[in-house]
Amino acid sequence: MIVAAGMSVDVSAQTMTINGAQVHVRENVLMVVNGDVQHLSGEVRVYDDATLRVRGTARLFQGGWYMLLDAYVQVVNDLHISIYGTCWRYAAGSLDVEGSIFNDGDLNNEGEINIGRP
Amino acid sequence: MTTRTRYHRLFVAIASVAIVLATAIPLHSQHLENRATGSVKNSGTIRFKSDTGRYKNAAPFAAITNNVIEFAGTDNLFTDLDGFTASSTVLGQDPAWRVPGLVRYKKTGTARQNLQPRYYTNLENADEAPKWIPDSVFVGGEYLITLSGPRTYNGTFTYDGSQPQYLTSERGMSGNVNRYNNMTIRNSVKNVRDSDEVRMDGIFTGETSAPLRVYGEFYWGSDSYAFADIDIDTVGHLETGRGVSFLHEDVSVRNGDFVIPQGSDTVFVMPTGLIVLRNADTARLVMGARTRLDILGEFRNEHPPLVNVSFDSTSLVHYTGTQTPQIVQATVGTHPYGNLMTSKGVKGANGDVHVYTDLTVNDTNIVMIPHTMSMTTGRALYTNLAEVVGRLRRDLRRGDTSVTYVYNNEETFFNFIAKPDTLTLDSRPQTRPNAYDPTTDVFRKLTVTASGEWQALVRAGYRASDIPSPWDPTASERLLKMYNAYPAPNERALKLTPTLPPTYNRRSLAQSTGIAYVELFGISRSGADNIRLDDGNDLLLRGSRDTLRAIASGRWSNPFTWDEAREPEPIDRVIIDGFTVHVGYVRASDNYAVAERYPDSLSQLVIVGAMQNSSLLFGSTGTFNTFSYVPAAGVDMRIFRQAPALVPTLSQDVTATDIDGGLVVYPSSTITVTNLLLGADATVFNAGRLRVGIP
Repeated sequence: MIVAAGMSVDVSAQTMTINGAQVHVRENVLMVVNGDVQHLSGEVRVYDDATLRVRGTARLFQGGWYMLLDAYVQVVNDLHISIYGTCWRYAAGSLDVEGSIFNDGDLNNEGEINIGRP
Repeated sequence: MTTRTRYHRLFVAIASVAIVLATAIPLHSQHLENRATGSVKNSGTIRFKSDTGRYKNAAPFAAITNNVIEFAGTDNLFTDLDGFTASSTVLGQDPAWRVPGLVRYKKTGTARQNLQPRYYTNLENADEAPKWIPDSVFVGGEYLITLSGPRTYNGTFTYDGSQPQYLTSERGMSGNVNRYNNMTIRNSVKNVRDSDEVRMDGIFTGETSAPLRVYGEFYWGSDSYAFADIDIDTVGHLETGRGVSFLHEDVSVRNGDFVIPQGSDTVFVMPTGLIVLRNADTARLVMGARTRLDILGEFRNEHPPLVNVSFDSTSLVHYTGTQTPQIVQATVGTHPYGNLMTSKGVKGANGDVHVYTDLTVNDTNIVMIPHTMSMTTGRALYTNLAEVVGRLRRDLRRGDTSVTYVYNNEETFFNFIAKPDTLTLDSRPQTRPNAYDPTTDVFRKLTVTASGEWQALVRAGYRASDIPSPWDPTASERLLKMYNAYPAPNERALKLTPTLPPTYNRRSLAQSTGIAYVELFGISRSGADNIRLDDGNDLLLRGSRDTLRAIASGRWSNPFTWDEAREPEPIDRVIIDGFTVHVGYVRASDNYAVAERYPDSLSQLVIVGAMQNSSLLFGSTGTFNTFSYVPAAGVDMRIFRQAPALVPTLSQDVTATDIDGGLVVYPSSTITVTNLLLGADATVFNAGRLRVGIP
């Protein structure tokens, strides 16, 4: 619990910034961002059966996120896609955004996108 | 443990609870917000899991594609960015912004899931949560129900796709749960699939753009408006609702049932509408108890045996079109109409018409020629002088001699003393009857045929149009009598006098509201010439002035003294032969006290014959004591009876006994006659004043 309390305090300060990088989350691996993602440019590719978990808000300014096959991506807060951003959920995995999706760019879904929580 | 440590642990515990609560309660909205520059291309599924999640859109419609949008909350919506549901970029707000793909409302549990009034392409209700379907839900594609909880329909559910659609089964038996409330179809052909069952509680509207194919079962709720064709095939079944139904186009039954069930209100086939049963015994029309079908357009049965209809005996088919003629569909005796009514335009028929209960003919005629209107013992009712022209047949096997059976118009009937199995009257106005004399006869052909012996009081109605040319001046409606008229080549007419005197009852055109009549008691199918109307002969109505014959001893003014049951008129010729007729006073023979109507011109001619008791007595009642035959040349009184003995004349005889005396004039009585002709040995007893010749 103390750790959880510490995460909530610290999450805004724990931001992964992607600025021109190519991030490959390869098959069957788990990648967790205990905070927000600032995607300024570049690409994130999440491969089959891999998991990317963002325990904060993801902001995609330019470039794209590509979720292949049964890749699973979870964004605990909101997902922002700017006018130059692309978010592409291929079949057949899920993208779970527990907050809202704010889309000014391209949101393509061939699998499942789940928004909110019951 | 130090105090500081205890405070630290308490702080941590409170913070932990706060964090847990914060985790359980969403801190963020949970929408998909597609802004003006965004595009959402969805070939998978986008699922909204919270109760209030919204699909917000500000982008052009072309920026949106969709496979499945799944609403898993109780109140998910399509809105614009500000939460409005009806602004210009909201999905599903109008047909141009119809939500593409499928919108699925899918929720577990018992909390009610509310659908949004939208234009959907495809719509699905799934999982066990109850569904609340509001007014103004439009489905342009497919409507799916997948293991859904109970669905409550409100307002109108509309199928409005431009491509053919299926109407989805809802089988609820009452109310609006699992049963459509109102339903509207438009824009393309709609189908009720074989084995599907579509029920509704409210108003059905089938717009002009939406023909309906019923291959399964379709039950209308209350009122119904069908503006496009309806086909019933593959054992389809369409039932009208408890309200009125308006059919503006064709209902074509090829293989199935069109049913107007008991409890249904009137079904109107509008002037542009048609119910047609195709040539199959499985193309059926069924009308339940107390139902009504008003046909302003047409009803046609193309199945020649005509056994594919079922009309309850209390049902009513009303032909009320204004087309001339409107054709009444034929029926057969085993499948007759219950009640049949006609009104407005003239009716014809495409075959024999059988009616089980009542026939009501309003306004204008039904022309049955060359067919037959066939009834049993029900009532035939007429208004506005309407008639059945042609044959009207009654099956009287279940008939009753205490009932009057009306035939072709309101003033034509038979009241049977002995009834046949069937009797048909062929009534043809303005048609030449057998032995017709245009100077004296009614121009209406009345032909009677029957199976079995009969005897009846017969009333025959006629109209002014049945007297097309002026009659002879001596003829009159008041003189109308019935004749047994034979056809060519030996045309002749025998006067019917079934009783002596005949019991005529007449109403002239002047006294009538349009249909006059003459009525005679005792006509029979067989028997002597004076009572018989031969089968197939015409019942001729003749207004000629025949020579009156005394048929009983009695007063001159008493109608029952004469064979035509009327007092002689100045224009009449009279024969008294074998009876004692008295003038001007009361005798006990008939105790008739009504004075002679024409004392100064009793008749044109009177003949007192040579038979026993042939007498004409003139008496007086106070000052009513002066009598005359028509004071003109050529008017005769002829006496042929020779009295066997002197007749006492000191006072007028008031007994009931016949007097055998020829001409007898009692004291105080005066009789004037232009010419008096006395036969050989004839006797005249004058104790009053007998004046011969015109002074």
